[in-house]
Amino acid sequence: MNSFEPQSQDSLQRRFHQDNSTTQQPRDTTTPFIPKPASKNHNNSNSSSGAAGRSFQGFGLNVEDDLVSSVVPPVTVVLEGRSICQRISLDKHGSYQSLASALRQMFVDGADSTDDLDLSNAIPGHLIAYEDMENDLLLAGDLTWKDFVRVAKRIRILPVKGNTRQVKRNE
Amino acid sequence: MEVSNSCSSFSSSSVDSTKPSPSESSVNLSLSLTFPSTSPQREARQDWPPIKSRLRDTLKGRRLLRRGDDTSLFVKVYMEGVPIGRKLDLCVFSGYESLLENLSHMFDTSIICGNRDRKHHVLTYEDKDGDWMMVGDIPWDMFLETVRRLKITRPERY
Repeated sequence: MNSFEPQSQDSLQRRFHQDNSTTQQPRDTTTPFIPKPASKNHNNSNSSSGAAGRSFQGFGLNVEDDLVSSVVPPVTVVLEGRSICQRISLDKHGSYQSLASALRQMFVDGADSTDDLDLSNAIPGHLIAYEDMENDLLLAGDLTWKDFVRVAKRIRILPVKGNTRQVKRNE
Repeated sequence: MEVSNSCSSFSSSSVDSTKPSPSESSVNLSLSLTFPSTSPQREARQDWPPIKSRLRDTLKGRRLLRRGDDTSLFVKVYMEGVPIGRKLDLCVFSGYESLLENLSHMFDTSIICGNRDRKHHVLTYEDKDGDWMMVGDIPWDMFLETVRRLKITRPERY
C-alpha cells in the first residue's frame, strides 16, 4: 500500500482543479501497430506545470505530451555485435513506423523508403527490442506508442537466430 | 471502442466485488496499473524518467485521473528459452480461455492451464506477493487483481 504525502495530495488537488477547466484529452487506443501521427507544437513546450496549465487552456494541446517531451532524454540504440551505439530521441517520433524508418536509415546502407515499413522489417534479419525501467528485454510494438516512449530506456536490435523460436506479433 | 468498454467493465467489476472502499481501492488499483511489478523494484521505478519530482507527481496525478477512460493492464510475458518478452494487455480478454488462445498464437506453441504434462507448455504467473502460481486457480477477476507477470514454462521432461 502506497500512501501519498500531503504535498503530493495538494498537487493532485490542484491538478484536478485545472483539469476540470480544460478539454478532455483524446482516448488512447491499445492497438500497437496503427500509426498515430502526432502534431506536437514544440514552440509552446513549457516545463512549468502551472504556467503550462493556464496558457494551454482552450488550445486543445496535449499538455502531458509537451511536458514529457521536454524532459525525456534520448535513448541509446545498440545493434548487437557493434561496439559503437547511437542515440535517438523518441519524442521526435510520433509512431512505431516513424521509429522503424529512422532505424532503417541508421543501420541499413543504401536504404530506400518503402511504404510497408514497420518494426518487423525495419532491419532485415533483426528484431527490435527494448529494455524498460526494470532492465527487462521486451519486443517493441506491444504497447501504445505513448507508453513505449515513457518506459523504453534502451533499444536493442537483435539478430533473428535460426535456433531460437520466432516470436510472432499480434495481428 | 468495444475494447475500451470491455476494459472498463472488467475494472469496475473487480473493484465492486472485492474492495468496499472506493477511494482506497481506486488509488491502489491505479498504482497497480501504473507499476505492474514486484515491491523490490518499486524504488528503482521512481527514478525513471529522470524528471523533477514535482513534475513526476503532476504526471502521476494525471494518470490517476485518466484511469477511468483508458483502462488497460499490461503485464510482461516470457517463455522459457526465449530472451525477448512481450507486453500483453489483460483487459482485452474475457477469461482464461481467450488468454491462452492469444498466448499460443503469440508464442507459436501449445499452452495449457493446470497440471504439467509432457506435451504442453504450462502457463504460470507471479502474483503480488512475488510467488509463482499456476494460472487458472482463482476466478478471472481475482486473477486480474493479483497478476504481475506471466511465464510460459517448458513441458516437463522425464
